[in-house]
Amino acid sequence: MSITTQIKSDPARWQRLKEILADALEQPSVERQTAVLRESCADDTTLFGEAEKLLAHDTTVFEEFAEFAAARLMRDERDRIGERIGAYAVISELGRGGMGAVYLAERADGQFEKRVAIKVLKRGTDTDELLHRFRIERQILANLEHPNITRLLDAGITTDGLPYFVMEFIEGTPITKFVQRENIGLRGRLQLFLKVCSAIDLAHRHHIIHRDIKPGNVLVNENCEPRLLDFGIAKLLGIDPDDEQVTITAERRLTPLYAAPEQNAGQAATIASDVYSLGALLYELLTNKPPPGSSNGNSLENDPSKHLTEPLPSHVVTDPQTKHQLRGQLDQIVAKTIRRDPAQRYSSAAELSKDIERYLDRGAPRSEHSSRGTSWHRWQIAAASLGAIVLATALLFSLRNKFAWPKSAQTSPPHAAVAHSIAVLPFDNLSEERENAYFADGIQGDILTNLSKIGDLKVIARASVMGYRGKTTSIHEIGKALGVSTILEGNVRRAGNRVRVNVELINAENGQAIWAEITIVT
Amino acid sequence: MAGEYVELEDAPVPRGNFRPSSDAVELSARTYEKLRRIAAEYLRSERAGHTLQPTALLHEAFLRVLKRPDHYWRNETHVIAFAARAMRRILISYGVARTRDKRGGPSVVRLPLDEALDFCAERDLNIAAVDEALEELEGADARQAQIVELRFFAGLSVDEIASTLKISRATVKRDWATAKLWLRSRLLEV
Repeated sequence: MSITTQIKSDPARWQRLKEILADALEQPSVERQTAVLRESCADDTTLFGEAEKLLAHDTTVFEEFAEFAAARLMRDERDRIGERIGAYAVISELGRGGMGAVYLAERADGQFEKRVAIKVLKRGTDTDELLHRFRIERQILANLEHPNITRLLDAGITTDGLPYFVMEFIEGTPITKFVQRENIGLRGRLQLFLKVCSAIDLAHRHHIIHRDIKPGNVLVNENCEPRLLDFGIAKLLGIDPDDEQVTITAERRLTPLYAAPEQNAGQAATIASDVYSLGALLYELLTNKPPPGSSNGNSLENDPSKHLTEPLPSHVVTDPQTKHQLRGQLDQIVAKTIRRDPAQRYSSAAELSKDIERYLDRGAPRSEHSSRGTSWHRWQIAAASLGAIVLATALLFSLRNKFAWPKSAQTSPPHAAVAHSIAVLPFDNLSEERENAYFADGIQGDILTNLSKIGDLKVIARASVMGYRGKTTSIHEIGKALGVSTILEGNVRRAGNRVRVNVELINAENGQAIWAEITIVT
Repeated sequence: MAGEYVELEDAPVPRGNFRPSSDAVELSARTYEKLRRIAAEYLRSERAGHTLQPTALLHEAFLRVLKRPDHYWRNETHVIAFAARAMRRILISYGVARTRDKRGGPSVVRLPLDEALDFCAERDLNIAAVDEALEELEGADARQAQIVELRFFAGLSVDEIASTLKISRATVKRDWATAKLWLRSRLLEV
C-alpha cells in the first residue's frame, strides 16, 4: 500500500508523520535530518522508511508555482512602466529574475538626470522586517565605497506593498558572458577577476558579506570595468540563514552553483563562503564551463568526502593551449578556493588575489619592491601606452594604405591579401627569465585588442598566429598563409625593472619595414 | 488561539460536479480577468504614505465583483478562503476548456491563466491531479489543504496566510513544507 493511500485511510498516522517530517526539515544538514528521523521513529522502521522516502522528494516545483501565483495569477506585476516608485519614474523593464523584476528609472522631479535601477521584489517577503533590517544596514552599505561596487541608494515599499531597492544603474554584461563575447585572454580574465576580489575584500574588511556572488551580480561595462551588484541585499532579504529565519526558502533562493556547501546546507554565510563563490566564478572564467557546484540537488546523498574540486579546471577545457596554461598553479588556486572545508580555503579574498598576482607576476622575486605595486603596475602602463601608439600608427597606416597602394590591391591575384589587414605575431621574449614570456603575450594581446577597434581593418585572430611562435617562416610566407598585407612583430626584453619593447610593422609582400618603435619603461 | 481555518463545506462554491454557470460566481476566464483587473487597479492607484495590505485588497476586489451583501461575509478570512477556492475552480475549468478548444488555434488574448497552465505544462505538473490530491489531503488534514490552496490559488505568502488564518508563521511553514512532500509523493503515484 502506498504511503498516501495509507494516510488517506489513517489520518492520525499522517499527523504523526507530518510532525516528524517538519522537525526534520528544520535541521540545517542532511545528517541531522536523518538523526531526527531516527530519534523520532525509534524502532518503527516502517515509519522511518516512509519519512525518509517522503523527505527525499524534490518539491521545488510547488514552491515555484506558489511564487508564480503570488506574482502573476492574482496580482499582475508585469507592467510598472510609467509608474512612480519613490522619487523615480519607471522608464523600462531591465529584467526579471528569481527575486523579482528590475526596472530602469529616472528622477521623476527632473532634479537630476540620474538614472537608476530599481529592483522590485516579489511578493512573499516580510516587508516590515525587511525595512527594519534595511535601516540598520543602510549606513554600513553607504560606507562601502569602491570603484567596482555598485552603490545602493535607497529602499522602500511600493504603493502596492512590495519592497524595492534603488541602485546605481550599470550598463554591463555578466562577467562570464563578457569574457567570452569579447574573447578576453587568460590574463585579461584574471585581471578582471582581481578587481572583483579587491571589491569583495574591501567589503569583508567592513564586515559585510556579499552572500550571493555569481556572474549575474558581476557586470562588466564597455571600459572593461567590473561592477558588483546587490551587495548586502541577500542579508536584507533574510535569505542568509544566520538570523533566526532558517528556512528552506533560503536554500532555494541562493544560486546553488555558486553558493558554498555550508550555505547550501543552510549555515551562515561567512567570508569563507564568499571566497568559495569567488572560486566558483573563477572556475567559470577560466574554463567557460559552469563550476562543479556544491549541491547536487539530491541532498541526502551529499557525501562530505567527495571533493568539490573535481574536475579541475584544466580537465574540463579541450583547447590544448588553455589546458596547458591552467595546469598547475591555476588549478591549485581554484582548488584551494572551492574546498568543501571552509577552513582549508583561502582565508580572505586578498590572499586569493595574492596568489593570482603571483601567477601573473611569475618569476619576479617576492619582495617589497617587486610586488604588484611596482612592476605589475608599470607593466600595465607600458602596455597601455604602447597600445595607444600602435593604434594611432595603425590608423595613419590604414589611411596611407588607402591612397598610396591602390595598385597592389587592384592587381592582386584572387586569393591575395586584403589591403587593410594585419597579423600580430607572438612577441619574442628576450628576457633572461623564460617566465617573462607573459609580458610578451600581454603586449601582443593589448595590441590585438586595440587594432580590432579599427573599423575596416581585418585583424587576424590570436589563435591563428600563435602557431608561428618561435618559427622561422618568412614574413612573405606568413602573409600569404594568413592572407594579410601587413604583419606586426616585436620583442620584449625585461631586465630588473626595465622593460624594453621593440615593435616593427612590415609590408608582407616585400618584407620592408613600414614603421618601427622602441618603448622603454622603467 | 488554535486558528480558524475555514470550513469550506459551507463556502458558496459547489464542489464535485461543478458547472460554470450554476452559481452566483461565474467561474470563467472573464470573471478571473475582472478580478485581476480590479486588483491591478487598486495596486496601481497611488495612496501616498499608505501601505495597502494585500489581503484587504483582495477583500475589496472580491466584494466589488461578487456583489454579495456585506453581512454575507463572515469575516475577512472567509473572503480570502472563498477567493482561493474560486481561483482554484477558475484555473481548473479554464484548463479543461483550453484543452477542448485547442483545435481553434492559439487564442489572441493570453491571460495569466494561460501562463499558469503553460508554467505547469513546462514543469510536468498536472494541475488537475494537484486539484484531486488536494481534495484527498483535505480528508487527512483540512488546514494543510487550505494552506496549499491559499498559496497556489490566492498567491498568499506564508506571512499572509498566518495572519489570514490567525495561526503562527511556524505552523504555516511546517504545514506547507510537509504538504509539499505529501503532494509530490501523491503525484508520483498517479
